[in-house]
Amino acid sequence: MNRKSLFTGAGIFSVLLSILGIAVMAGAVQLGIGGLQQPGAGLFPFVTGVIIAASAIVVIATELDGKNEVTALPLDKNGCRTLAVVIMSMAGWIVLMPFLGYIVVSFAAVFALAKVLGVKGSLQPLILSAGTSLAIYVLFDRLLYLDLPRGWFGQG
Amino acid sequence: MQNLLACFIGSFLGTIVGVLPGVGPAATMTLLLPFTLGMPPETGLIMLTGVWFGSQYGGSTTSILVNIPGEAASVVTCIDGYQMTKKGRGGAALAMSSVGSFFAGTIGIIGLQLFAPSLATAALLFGPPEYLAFLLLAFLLLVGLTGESPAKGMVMFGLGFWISTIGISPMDGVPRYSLGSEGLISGIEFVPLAVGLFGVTEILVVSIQKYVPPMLAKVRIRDLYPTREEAKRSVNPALRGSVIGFFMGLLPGPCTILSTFLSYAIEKKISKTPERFGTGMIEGVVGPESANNSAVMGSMIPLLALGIPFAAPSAIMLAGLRMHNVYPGPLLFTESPDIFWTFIAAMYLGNLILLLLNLPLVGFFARIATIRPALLMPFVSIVCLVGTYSIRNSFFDVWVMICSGIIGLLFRKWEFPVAPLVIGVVLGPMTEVNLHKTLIMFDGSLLPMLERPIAAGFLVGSVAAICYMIWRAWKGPAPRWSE
Repeated sequence: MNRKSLFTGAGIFSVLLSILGIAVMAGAVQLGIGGLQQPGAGLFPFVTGVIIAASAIVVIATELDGKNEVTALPLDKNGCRTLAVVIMSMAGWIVLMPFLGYIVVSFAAVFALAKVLGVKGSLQPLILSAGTSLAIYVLFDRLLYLDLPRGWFGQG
Repeated sequence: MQNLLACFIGSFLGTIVGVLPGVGPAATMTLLLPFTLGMPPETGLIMLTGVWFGSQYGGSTTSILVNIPGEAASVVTCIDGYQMTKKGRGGAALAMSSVGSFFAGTIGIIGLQLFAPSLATAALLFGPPEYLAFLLLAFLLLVGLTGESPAKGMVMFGLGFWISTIGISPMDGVPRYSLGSEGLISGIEFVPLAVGLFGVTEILVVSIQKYVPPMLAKVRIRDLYPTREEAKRSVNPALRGSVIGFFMGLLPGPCTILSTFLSYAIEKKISKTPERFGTGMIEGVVGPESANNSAVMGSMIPLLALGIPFAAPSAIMLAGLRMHNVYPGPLLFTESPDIFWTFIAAMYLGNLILLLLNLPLVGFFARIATIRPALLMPFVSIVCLVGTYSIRNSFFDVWVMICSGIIGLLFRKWEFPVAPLVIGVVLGPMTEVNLHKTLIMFDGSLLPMLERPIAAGFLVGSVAAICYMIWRAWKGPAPRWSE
């Protein structure tokens, strides 16, 4: 039998899920499972914790058995770097929006994303950023009348 | 007029989404949810269904012309559709698949019109034990019918149920798993979670995948005409596909995908020349494409009549309706029948709109498939961010979206299906309430459920589903679950 190590990404992920299931069960006990005749707030979460933990253990067992040959989304160093930049762009959008307003941060975020996704030069990303910011403004501000933060530039 | 416009926008967007590989109807429907808040509930439902319906039309375009399925439900169409393109019959394949889709969509709408009210009437007999037993059967079927690993499906259901418990308990007002956080006390909102899992995950996946530009075959309007023989050979597959798809839609699971596989398998089985399948047989295109359109309407029946979604897109529609304080189920037909019948009328028109859009504009839609993800994804990212923020003007929701997207990437990497999680989140509260009510009704025991014929029937089905899963575990993996 082709036995695999548990110390693969999939294995570790499954172990974390089983730990989560156990934590959910522990939390449910603290909430109070109650009795079957008078179920408490923790009964259903306890059941979900059992489902998560038990199923994750089965996944771990099949992982160890070598039955799951997972090959989706191979990730190298460049890929991780790209992911980090994409996530940071989105996080930056949240952090900076109250100060700079949604149009400016959207412009900057689209430019950064376009560059990290491989759009060459500066003209295309700039056009894309301007077009996206304009589209967002028209759609959310003018058509849907949503009150989005305008930051320092919208004050006064 | 508003409903017609919503139908047109939904169908148009859906066709575009269907054409674009990677961006699925579930992600698009989730992104549209905040926009539907300002609309009447039936208008929002029409737009969202238009997206789902339209994506089934659009998915066939790139499958046939480029051999790249725009949608998971169009994978099978690639097999013979692209071969027809290589023989210069791509236009005919597109035309007949559109006509077949229109025909099947019409059959599906008629079926929905006939069956949904009847099922809703029968569902008035359902009490908490019946709903609990039905939900159990539905979950087991969802996990067991597809997906490489039922265990992974169960993990995801469990996660979905657990996420639905975060916040204030509906039974006794106790905060659960809030960890003292104000954001978590009000629970995890569905839209940020779904936008993250479907939209942000896709953006992250695209950012790390190598882009290969598709080689697009040109199709002129005059190439759309099928020969008399092609048209004649398409009639029966369209009829069969319509029926297969409609009944597959009634089952839990990725109905549109399953229906196409089943339709293709049946067409090949009953064909006098099965060895020619895979070389450009029009039956292998029209049958599956008809099935996936009809399946969309079939899956609306459990959603509207019982309030139970059997697939991720219908779970999103349920979430959308709930945001309007409309609760699909048996009472929808007595308290708000206008919603249902307005929806039916719009779907007939939407089906026609899709046929009229897809045939003359096939060149335009095919070109959309050549848009580089590097240009599209930044725009989609900002729509995700702003759309999610606009629900409650809450940055917490946007953080939830980003975290869901990262976790969704891990799920994708290690092949944990996301649809059960989404359905679990939507149905978790209903399951919990029915479990509590059943336990209280029967004084702490679930055995009296066996004395109720409907509940007992569902429980017997659940046992059969478990037996099937065990048998499948011995036999080998089933087709992959993806939306």
